[in-house]
Amino acid sequence: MIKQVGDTVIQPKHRATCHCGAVELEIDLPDGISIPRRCNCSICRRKGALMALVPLEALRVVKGADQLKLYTFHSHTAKHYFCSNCGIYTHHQTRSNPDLYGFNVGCLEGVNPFLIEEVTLSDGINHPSDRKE
Amino acid sequence: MIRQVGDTVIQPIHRLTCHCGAVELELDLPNGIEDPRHCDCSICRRKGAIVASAPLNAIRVVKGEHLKLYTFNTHTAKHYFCDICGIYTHHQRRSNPHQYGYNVGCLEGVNPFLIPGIKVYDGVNHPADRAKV
Repeated sequence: MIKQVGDTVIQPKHRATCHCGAVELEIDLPDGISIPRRCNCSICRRKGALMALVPLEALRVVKGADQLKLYTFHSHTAKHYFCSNCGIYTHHQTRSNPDLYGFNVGCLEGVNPFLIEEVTLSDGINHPSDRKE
Repeated sequence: MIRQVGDTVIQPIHRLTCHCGAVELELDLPNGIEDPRHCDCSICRRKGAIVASAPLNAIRVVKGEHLKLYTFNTHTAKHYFCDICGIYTHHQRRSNPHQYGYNVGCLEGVNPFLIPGIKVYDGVNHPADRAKV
Protein backbone atom coordinates (compact mmCIF):
# COMPACT_ATOMS: atom_id res chain seq x y z
CA MET A 1 0.00 0.00 0.00
CA ILE A 2 1.47 3.33 -1.04
CA LYS A 3 0.56 6.25 1.20
CA GLN A 4 2.94 8.83 -0.22
CA VAL A 5 4.50 9.48 -3.65
CA GLY A 6 7.37 11.95 -3.60
CA ASP A 7 6.10 14.84 -1.48
CA THR A 8 2.44 14.04 -2.12
CA VAL A 9 0.54 12.30 0.66
CA ILE A 10 -2.38 10.22 -0.65
CA GLN A 11 -5.57 11.64 0.85
CA PRO A 12 -8.54 9.57 2.11
CA LYS A 13 -10.49 11.28 -0.68
CA HIS A 14 -8.02 12.09 -3.41
CA ARG A 15 -8.80 14.12 -6.51
CA ALA A 16 -7.94 12.83 -9.99
CA THR A 17 -8.16 14.88 -13.19
CA CYS A 18 -7.60 14.42 -16.87
CA HIS A 19 -5.07 16.84 -18.39
CA CYS A 20 -7.38 19.63 -19.59
CA GLY A 21 -9.41 19.59 -16.37
CA ALA A 22 -12.75 18.82 -18.04
CA VAL A 23 -13.03 15.56 -16.09
CA GLU A 24 -12.57 15.31 -12.35
CA LEU A 25 -12.91 12.24 -10.14
CA GLU A 26 -12.97 11.83 -6.38
CA ILE A 27 -11.50 8.53 -5.26
CA ASP A 28 -11.67 7.03 -1.76
CA LEU A 29 -8.12 5.92 -0.96
CA PRO A 30 -8.18 5.59 2.84
CA ASP A 31 -5.35 3.04 2.68
CA GLY A 32 -3.42 4.67 -0.15
CA ILE A 33 -2.69 3.23 -3.61
CA SER A 34 -3.04 -0.56 -3.68
CA ILE A 35 -0.86 -2.71 -5.98
CA PRO A 36 -0.01 -0.26 -8.77
CA ARG A 37 0.33 -2.13 -12.03
CA ARG A 38 0.74 -2.02 -15.75
CA CYS A 39 -0.72 -4.64 -18.07
CA ASN A 40 0.45 -5.99 -21.43
CA CYS A 41 -2.95 -6.66 -23.05
CA SER A 42 -3.79 -5.04 -26.39
CA ILE A 43 -5.35 -1.91 -24.89
CA CYS A 44 -3.25 -1.45 -21.75
CA ARG A 45 0.02 -1.72 -23.68
CA ARG A 46 -1.23 1.15 -25.84
CA LYS A 47 -2.39 3.22 -22.91
CA GLY A 48 0.81 2.56 -20.98
CA ALA A 49 -0.76 4.05 -17.85
CA LEU A 50 0.01 2.98 -14.32
CA MET A 51 -3.23 1.71 -12.75
CA ALA A 52 -4.64 0.72 -9.39
CA LEU A 53 -8.01 -0.76 -8.37
CA VAL A 54 -10.84 0.42 -6.10
CA PRO A 55 -14.41 -0.80 -5.48
CA LEU A 56 -16.98 0.84 -7.78
CA GLU A 57 -18.48 2.88 -4.94
CA ALA A 58 -15.07 4.38 -4.09
CA LEU A 59 -14.86 6.36 -7.33
CA ARG A 60 -17.16 9.25 -8.21
CA VAL A 61 -17.16 11.44 -11.32
CA VAL A 62 -17.58 14.92 -9.84
CA LYS A 63 -17.11 16.90 -13.05
CA GLY A 64 -17.32 16.28 -16.76
CA ALA A 65 -19.40 13.09 -16.97
CA ASP A 66 -20.66 14.46 -20.29
CA GLN A 67 -17.03 14.85 -21.49
CA LEU A 68 -16.16 11.23 -20.73
CA LYS A 69 -16.17 8.95 -23.70
CA LEU A 70 -16.77 5.21 -23.32
CA TYR A 71 -14.88 2.62 -25.34
CA THR A 72 -15.56 -1.11 -25.27
CA PHE A 73 -14.41 -4.05 -27.40
CA HIS A 74 -14.23 -7.86 -27.55
CA SER A 75 -16.52 -9.06 -24.71
CA HIS A 76 -17.65 -5.44 -24.05
CA THR A 77 -17.50 -6.20 -20.33
CA ALA A 78 -14.74 -3.74 -19.49
CA LYS A 79 -15.81 -0.09 -19.80
CA HIS A 80 -12.89 2.17 -20.69
CA TYR A 81 -13.37 5.89 -20.14
CA PHE A 82 -11.28 8.78 -21.46
CA CYS A 83 -11.67 12.54 -21.74
CA SER A 84 -13.03 13.38 -25.18
CA ASN A 85 -11.17 16.71 -25.13
CA CYS A 86 -7.61 15.74 -24.15
CA GLY A 87 -7.76 11.96 -24.67
CA ILE A 88 -6.50 11.05 -21.21
CA TYR A 89 -7.66 7.70 -19.81
CA THR A 90 -9.15 8.31 -16.38
CA HIS A 91 -10.69 4.99 -15.28
CA HIS A 92 -12.28 1.74 -16.42
CA GLN A 93 -14.62 -0.86 -15.04
CA THR A 94 -12.55 -4.03 -15.15
CA ARG A 95 -13.40 -7.19 -17.00
CA SER A 96 -11.75 -9.58 -14.57
CA ASN A 97 -13.93 -8.12 -11.79
CA PRO A 98 -16.76 -5.75 -12.83
CA ASP A 99 -17.18 -4.75 -9.16
CA LEU A 100 -13.92 -2.81 -9.47
CA TYR A 101 -12.71 0.28 -11.27
CA GLY A 102 -9.15 0.62 -12.41
CA PHE A 103 -7.96 4.22 -12.36
CA ASN A 104 -5.02 6.13 -13.80
CA VAL A 105 -2.48 6.72 -11.01
CA GLY A 106 -0.87 9.46 -13.12
CA CYS A 107 -4.12 11.46 -12.87
CA LEU A 108 -4.02 11.66 -9.06
CA GLU A 109 -3.43 15.24 -8.00
CA GLY A 110 0.29 15.88 -7.35
CA VAL A 111 1.36 12.30 -8.08
CA ASN A 112 4.34 11.60 -10.35
CA PRO A 113 3.71 7.92 -11.15
CA PHE A 114 7.30 7.36 -12.21
CA LEU A 115 8.41 7.80 -8.60
CA ILE A 116 6.58 4.57 -7.69
CA GLU A 117 9.08 1.75 -7.76
CA GLU A 118 7.04 -1.35 -6.92
CA VAL A 119 5.03 -1.81 -10.11
CA THR A 120 3.36 -5.12 -11.00
CA LEU A 121 3.00 -6.18 -14.64
CA SER A 122 -0.30 -8.02 -15.20
CA ASP A 123 -0.32 -10.74 -17.85
CA GLY A 124 -3.25 -9.32 -19.80
CA ILE A 125 -2.13 -11.07 -23.00
CA ASN A 126 -3.48 -14.18 -21.26
CA HIS A 127 -6.48 -12.48 -19.66
CA PRO A 128 -8.00 -14.51 -16.79
CA SER A 129 -11.43 -14.28 -18.47
CA ASP A 130 -10.02 -15.88 -21.63
CA ARG A 131 -8.19 -18.72 -19.93
CA LYS A 132 -9.67 -22.20 -20.18
CA GLU A 133 -10.20 -24.00 -16.88
CA MET B 1 18.78 1.58 -30.85
CA ILE B 2 16.25 -1.23 -30.51
CA ARG B 3 15.79 -3.44 -33.55
CA GLN B 4 13.77 -6.25 -31.98
CA VAL B 5 11.25 -6.44 -29.10
CA GLY B 6 10.42 -9.98 -27.99
CA ASP B 7 9.84 -11.91 -31.23
CA THR B 8 8.96 -8.78 -33.21
CA VAL B 9 11.63 -7.40 -35.53
CA ILE B 10 11.23 -3.65 -36.13
CA GLN B 11 10.65 -3.20 -39.86
CA PRO B 12 12.18 -0.38 -41.98
CA ILE B 13 8.56 0.65 -42.55
CA HIS B 14 6.59 -0.36 -39.44
CA ARG B 15 2.82 -0.08 -38.93
CA LEU B 16 1.35 1.61 -35.88
CA THR B 17 -2.33 1.50 -34.87
CA CYS B 18 -4.59 2.77 -32.12
CA HIS B 19 -6.60 0.09 -30.34
CA CYS B 20 -9.82 0.13 -32.37
CA GLY B 21 -7.96 0.31 -35.68
CA ALA B 22 -9.51 3.60 -36.86
CA VAL B 23 -6.09 5.28 -36.87
CA GLU B 24 -3.14 3.80 -38.70
CA LEU B 25 0.31 5.28 -39.23
CA GLU B 26 3.29 4.12 -41.24
CA LEU B 27 6.69 4.85 -39.69
CA ASP B 28 10.13 4.78 -41.26
CA LEU B 29 12.26 3.08 -38.61
CA PRO B 30 15.40 2.03 -40.52
CA ASN B 31 17.40 2.31 -37.30
CA GLY B 32 14.80 0.67 -35.07
CA ILE B 33 13.24 2.36 -32.03
CA GLU B 34 15.27 5.42 -31.02
CA ASP B 35 15.37 6.86 -27.52
CA PRO B 36 12.38 5.09 -25.91
CA ARG B 37 11.42 6.86 -22.68
CA HIS B 38 8.77 8.00 -20.26
CA CYS B 39 8.37 11.66 -19.29
CA ASP B 40 6.96 13.04 -16.06
CA CYS B 41 5.44 16.30 -17.37
CA SER B 42 1.76 17.00 -16.70
CA ILE B 43 0.48 15.32 -19.84
CA CYS B 44 3.01 12.49 -20.29
CA ARG B 45 2.55 11.31 -16.69
CA ARG B 46 -1.17 10.98 -17.42
CA LYS B 47 -0.63 9.23 -20.72
CA GLY B 48 1.92 6.89 -19.21
CA ALA B 49 3.03 5.74 -22.66
CA ILE B 50 6.55 4.81 -23.70
CA VAL B 51 7.47 7.33 -26.38
CA ALA B 52 10.20 7.33 -29.04
CA SER B 53 11.18 9.97 -31.61
CA ALA B 54 11.18 10.12 -35.40
CA PRO B 55 11.67 12.98 -37.90
CA LEU B 56 8.41 14.54 -39.13
CA ASN B 57 8.84 13.10 -42.61
CA ALA B 58 9.28 9.57 -41.19
CA ILE B 59 5.65 9.34 -40.04
CA ARG B 60 2.71 9.17 -42.45
CA VAL B 61 -0.93 9.01 -41.44
CA VAL B 62 -2.45 6.20 -43.50
CA LYS B 63 -5.87 6.33 -41.79
CA GLY B 64 -6.56 9.43 -39.74
CA GLU B 65 -10.10 10.75 -39.99
CA HIS B 66 -10.61 9.92 -36.30
CA LEU B 67 -7.45 11.66 -35.06
CA LYS B 68 -8.18 14.40 -32.56
CA LEU B 69 -5.70 17.20 -31.79
CA TYR B 70 -5.09 18.49 -28.26
CA THR B 71 -2.81 21.43 -27.40
CA PHE B 72 -2.21 23.47 -24.22
CA ASN B 73 0.14 26.02 -22.62
CA THR B 74 2.34 27.27 -25.51
CA HIS B 75 0.29 25.21 -28.02
CA THR B 76 3.59 24.26 -29.70
CA ALA B 77 3.30 20.53 -29.09
CA LYS B 78 0.49 18.88 -31.06
CA HIS B 79 -0.89 15.82 -29.28
CA TYR B 80 -2.98 13.40 -31.33
CA PHE B 81 -5.28 10.62 -30.11
CA CYS B 82 -8.02 8.45 -31.59
CA ASP B 83 -11.43 9.93 -30.79
CA ILE B 84 -13.04 6.46 -30.72
CA CYS B 85 -10.72 4.51 -28.40
CA GLY B 86 -8.77 7.40 -26.83
CA ILE B 87 -5.36 5.95 -27.59
CA TYR B 88 -2.51 8.44 -28.00
CA THR B 89 -0.72 7.68 -31.25
CA HIS B 90 1.81 10.50 -31.78
CA HIS B 91 2.63 14.15 -31.13
CA GLN B 92 4.71 16.88 -32.69
CA ARG B 93 7.27 17.71 -30.03
CA ARG B 94 7.72 21.01 -28.29
CA SER B 95 11.42 20.58 -27.48
CA ASN B 96 12.04 19.72 -31.15
CA PRO B 97 9.13 20.57 -33.50
CA HIS B 98 11.03 18.86 -36.34
CA GLN B 99 10.29 15.55 -34.67
CA TYR B 100 7.27 13.49 -33.76
CA GLY B 101 7.08 11.45 -30.62
CA TYR B 102 5.12 8.22 -31.12
CA ASN B 103 3.57 5.60 -28.88
CA VAL B 104 5.87 2.55 -28.84
CA GLY B 105 3.00 0.42 -27.48
CA CYS B 106 1.08 1.06 -30.72
CA LEU B 107 3.76 -0.47 -32.97
CA GLU B 108 2.40 -3.65 -34.52
CA GLY B 109 3.42 -6.70 -32.46
CA VAL B 110 5.41 -4.74 -29.89
CA ASN B 111 4.94 -5.36 -26.17
CA PRO B 112 6.59 -2.19 -24.83
CA PHE B 113 7.12 -3.69 -21.38
CA LEU B 114 9.72 -6.04 -22.84
CA ILE B 115 12.04 -3.09 -23.50
CA PRO B 116 14.52 -2.91 -20.63
CA GLY B 117 15.97 0.23 -19.06
CA ILE B 118 13.34 2.80 -20.04
CA LYS B 119 14.48 6.18 -18.74
CA VAL B 120 12.25 8.98 -17.47
CA TYR B 121 12.71 12.47 -18.95
CA ASP B 122 12.50 15.42 -16.58
CA GLY B 123 9.45 16.96 -18.25
CA VAL B 124 8.45 18.73 -15.02
CA ASN B 125 11.37 21.03 -15.87
CA HIS B 126 10.77 21.06 -19.62
CA PRO B 127 13.83 22.14 -21.65
CA ALA B 128 11.71 24.78 -23.43
CA ASP B 129 10.81 26.31 -20.03
CA ARG B 130 14.34 26.39 -18.65
CA ALA B 131 16.11 29.74 -18.62
CA LYS B 132 18.44 30.10 -21.58
CA VAL B 133 22.05 29.56 -20.54
